[in-house]
Amino acid sequence: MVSAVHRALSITEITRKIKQTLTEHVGNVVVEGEISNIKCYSSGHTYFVLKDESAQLNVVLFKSVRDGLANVDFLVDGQKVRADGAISVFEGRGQYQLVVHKIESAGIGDLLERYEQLKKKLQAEGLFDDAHKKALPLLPRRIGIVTSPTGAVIHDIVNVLRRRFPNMSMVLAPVKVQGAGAADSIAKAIRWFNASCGKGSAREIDVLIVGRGGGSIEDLWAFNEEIVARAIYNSEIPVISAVGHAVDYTLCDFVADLRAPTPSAAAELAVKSKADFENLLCQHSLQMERMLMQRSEMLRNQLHRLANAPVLTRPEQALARYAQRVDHLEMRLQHVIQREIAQTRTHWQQSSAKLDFFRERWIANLRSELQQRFENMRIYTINRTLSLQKVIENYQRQLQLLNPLKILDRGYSLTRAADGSLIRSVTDVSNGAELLTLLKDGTIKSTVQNEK
Amino acid sequence: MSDKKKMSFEESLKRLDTIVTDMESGEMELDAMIKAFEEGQTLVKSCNTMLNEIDAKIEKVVKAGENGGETEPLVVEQEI
Repeated sequence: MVSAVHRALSITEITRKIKQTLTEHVGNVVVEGEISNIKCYSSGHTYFVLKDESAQLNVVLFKSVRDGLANVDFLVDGQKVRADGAISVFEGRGQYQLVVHKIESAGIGDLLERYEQLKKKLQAEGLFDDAHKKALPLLPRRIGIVTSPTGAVIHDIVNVLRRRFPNMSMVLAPVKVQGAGAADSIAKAIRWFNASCGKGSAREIDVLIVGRGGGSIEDLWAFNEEIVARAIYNSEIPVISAVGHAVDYTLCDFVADLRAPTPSAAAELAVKSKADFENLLCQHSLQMERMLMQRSEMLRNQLHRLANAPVLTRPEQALARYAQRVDHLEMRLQHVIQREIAQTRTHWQQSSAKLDFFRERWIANLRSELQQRFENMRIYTINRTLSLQKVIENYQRQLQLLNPLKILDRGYSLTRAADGSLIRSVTDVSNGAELLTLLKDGTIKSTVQNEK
Repeated sequence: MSDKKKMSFEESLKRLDTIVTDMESGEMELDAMIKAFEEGQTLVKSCNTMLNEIDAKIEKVVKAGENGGETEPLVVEQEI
């Protein structure tokens, strides 16, 4: 409704209108951006700007919200954050702003967590296994490089390689090393090298260097992407990874066949210096010559010595020596024989003497034994005789006691007939028979007158 | 001389090392030493050739096709 006279709005009125519009039509939002110009006042309230490549937004973080945060370390310039809040207008400054209800880090913390998760996943799959890592060729003929075509990295790599090995061949596959599409670009380059420059191809590549210069974790992020890690794992060409500074470790570094702390180090690891190789070959060559010369010298000396040996130049001396040996042996033989004879003789004499000694002793023993036996027999005989004598005497005595003629002492007499038979009864005699009567002291011859 | 398969640089170097070590051991007959010396010198020559065979091209890929692709020489300022 247009009136005849347009009443001009006051600044307050127009500002209120803007505020209303913004609050109604934009209201609560969630934004992400990089913190810049952050300032905290004594009131406890924090003011900063969130920006991206082409715009910026004023932000206020009141003390009450800030106090409620578990962690405020991320509230620094350069930090990417994610903020929940309401768009409103600060009338006093004529400024639209975001009043934050909730704010958290969207930068490194988030990235680190993604890094750790991906690292665990790839490690579990075995992408980092040592067993899978390939050895680098001792002498590569062509080196492939995956890095940015501008900047110090390609510069350093090429110069180090040229210095170490002036006629080394290299192929650079230029890629984006950060930002959107970098990971795809790097992975594609690695795959291309494998497909077009594999074994047997015209432009065969023996080793790849994949890397970039130093930077923040966001800058290096492409080298933490799964697609790049897998491209390196699947590469049949050995890969040296050289990402960032010596302290930076990306997932590429774990998957690669070798990790270099810097791009220049990567170039050094890729190939030994040509001069070193040439020196080694030269040394080997000299050493072989030296050994051969030594050996032939030694043999020559040996030959010389042998050729001049008296045995060859004056053989009769050698023979003379042998003759002398024979004589010497003969002499020794004689000595030995003589000694043997003498020994045997002595031995025999000793044995003989021993024999005599034993014989004498044996005879003496026999003799004494004989004497002993004689003695025994004599004693025995004497004893026997004595005892027999005793026995005889006994018998004698007994006999005497029993002697019938003893009876004669008692006055008895024995009368015998002429024929000598004993007269025991009167019937034994007849008249006129001659009788002999034996008395103790003699005999009486008588004749029978009358028997009764 | 039989037509042997070309030995790689690494294999040649290894064989050369073995030959030198054997010759140093002092236990080789003279005939064997001469033969080893000849083989060794041949190896040294072929290794040196391999070192110099590498053609010093520094290229940049401009088109990464499926079979090969195009390259152009890469110019990098030389260090002084």
